[in-house]
Amino acid sequence: MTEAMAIEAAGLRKAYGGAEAVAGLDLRVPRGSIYGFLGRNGSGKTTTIKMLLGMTRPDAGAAKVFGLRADATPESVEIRRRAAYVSEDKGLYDYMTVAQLIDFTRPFYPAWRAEVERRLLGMFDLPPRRKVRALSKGMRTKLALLLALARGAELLVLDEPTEGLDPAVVEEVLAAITGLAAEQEGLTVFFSSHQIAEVEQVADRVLIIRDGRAVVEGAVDELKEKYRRVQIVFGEGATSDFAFAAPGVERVSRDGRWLSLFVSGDAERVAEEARARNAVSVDVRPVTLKEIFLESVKEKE
Amino acid sequence: MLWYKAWLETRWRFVCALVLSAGLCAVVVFTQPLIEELRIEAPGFGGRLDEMVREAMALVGTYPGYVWSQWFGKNLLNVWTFFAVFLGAGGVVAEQARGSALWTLSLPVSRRRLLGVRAAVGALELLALAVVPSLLVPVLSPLIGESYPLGAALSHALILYGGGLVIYAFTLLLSNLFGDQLKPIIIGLAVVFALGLVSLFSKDLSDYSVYTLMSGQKLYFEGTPPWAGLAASLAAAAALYFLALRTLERRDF
Repeated sequence: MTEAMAIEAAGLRKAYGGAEAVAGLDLRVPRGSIYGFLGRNGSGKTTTIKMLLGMTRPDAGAAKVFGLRADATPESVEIRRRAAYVSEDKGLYDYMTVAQLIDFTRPFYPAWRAEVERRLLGMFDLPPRRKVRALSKGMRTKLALLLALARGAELLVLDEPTEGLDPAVVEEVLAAITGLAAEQEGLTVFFSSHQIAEVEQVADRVLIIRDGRAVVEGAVDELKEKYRRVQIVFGEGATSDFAFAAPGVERVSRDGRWLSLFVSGDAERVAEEARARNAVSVDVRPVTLKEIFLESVKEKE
Repeated sequence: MLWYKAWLETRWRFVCALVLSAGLCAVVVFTQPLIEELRIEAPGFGGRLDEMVREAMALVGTYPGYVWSQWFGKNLLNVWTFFAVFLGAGGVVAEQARGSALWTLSLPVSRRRLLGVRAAVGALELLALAVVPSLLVPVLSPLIGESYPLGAALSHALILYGGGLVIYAFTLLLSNLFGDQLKPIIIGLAVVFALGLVSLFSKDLSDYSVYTLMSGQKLYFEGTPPWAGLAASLAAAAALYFLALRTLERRDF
């Protein structure tokens, strides 16, 4: 475990009943990065986050945050002092007012940033005297983010922070997160999301998981460089029913004479192989993060 | 600030309980002259029923006996037990149903402290619910031309509290076993009701019952507090509390 990493996990496992939610996950989140944690519903994202924060015990493997063991009580308390968490359901105390909840939260965090609290109260237009139960989902999310961002945390762990919000609020929320990350040196943001466009907009690195296992990890720009879509059309009478010898062909979709390859290796070599097999058209094009995600989370055929 | 949270979560239950028990105390004190006039004879069926009626009539023949049998040994005992179950229900496991458990668990505090503060606030509220209405007895008694010693009221209240903490600790344990607020209340009430029935109809078992202990029967009849019973009850309460803590610490959210 190194100081350069905010989060490190190795071989993390958790099963509920017979079902494995997290199945040997390895994770390394560099300090100061904005790290997107992607996967389909039920892929193990929330369970992983809970294990990192000491809310759930792993069955096997080890997780460390700031070099502290997440499954040891005194260390996990220290992790939670230095990290802020916004859960997927944004559950807060309904019986408190906005001001009461802020007053309740502040004393737990010695590094509480009053100027961030004031700024976000104004920016998010949160009514201090309103009960949490009377807030809309968007307002509740904003309040949860205010409580997370103002505590002067070194790590923000955000589980679906923009779930259920309208696009205008999503923009506000993303601006607040990226603004704070730019302003606070060394702040690490670890967030899970289904909204790939948002992740692409703000994340430096991503990890995509499927069935509790890491399937793709890397810097967003490097991944977009690494993966390519190769679309091939064969002439009449030619067969497309063969295996490519070139390495890095992750997935092949066939439709008659038409072939679409999702390639993680040398796409030009794949294209040359296709041309050698008398393809009439070969098109190599870049892919979006969304395509990488969708191809990665599909079950292998 | 966890104290503040626990207080906000339980204050309405506490205030309602305090108002109800204070009102009940006033009713008990002010109906004494009426009960004095309405004294009845044993129905003559024989057996435990006749015995119970004769014992009750003998007790209400004196004001201290009336206060003990109608307040400390009956009404306060019953309502306080009920409040102990209600105040024991809740906590971070029940918060799962309300959706705020993960927020609470994300705070930089151990589960030991979460449970400790929650338990301590409830225990202090129960202490107030035993002592405050009981102290109304010596305050209100002169209004009907009677008097009741402050020390006796306080002693009975503390025996009720010390003996009854085991019921509170039992509900705390139930609250950490079940992930909602209703199940611990239903199971807790069912258990205390069953225990009450057993001690009501079996004189042999009633000597060892927590209700007999809480009623302060030994103090009233023998003039000495039930030290052994209190020690046993507090030890059982501590054991149940640590079981609740262990359950909470091992729980996955």
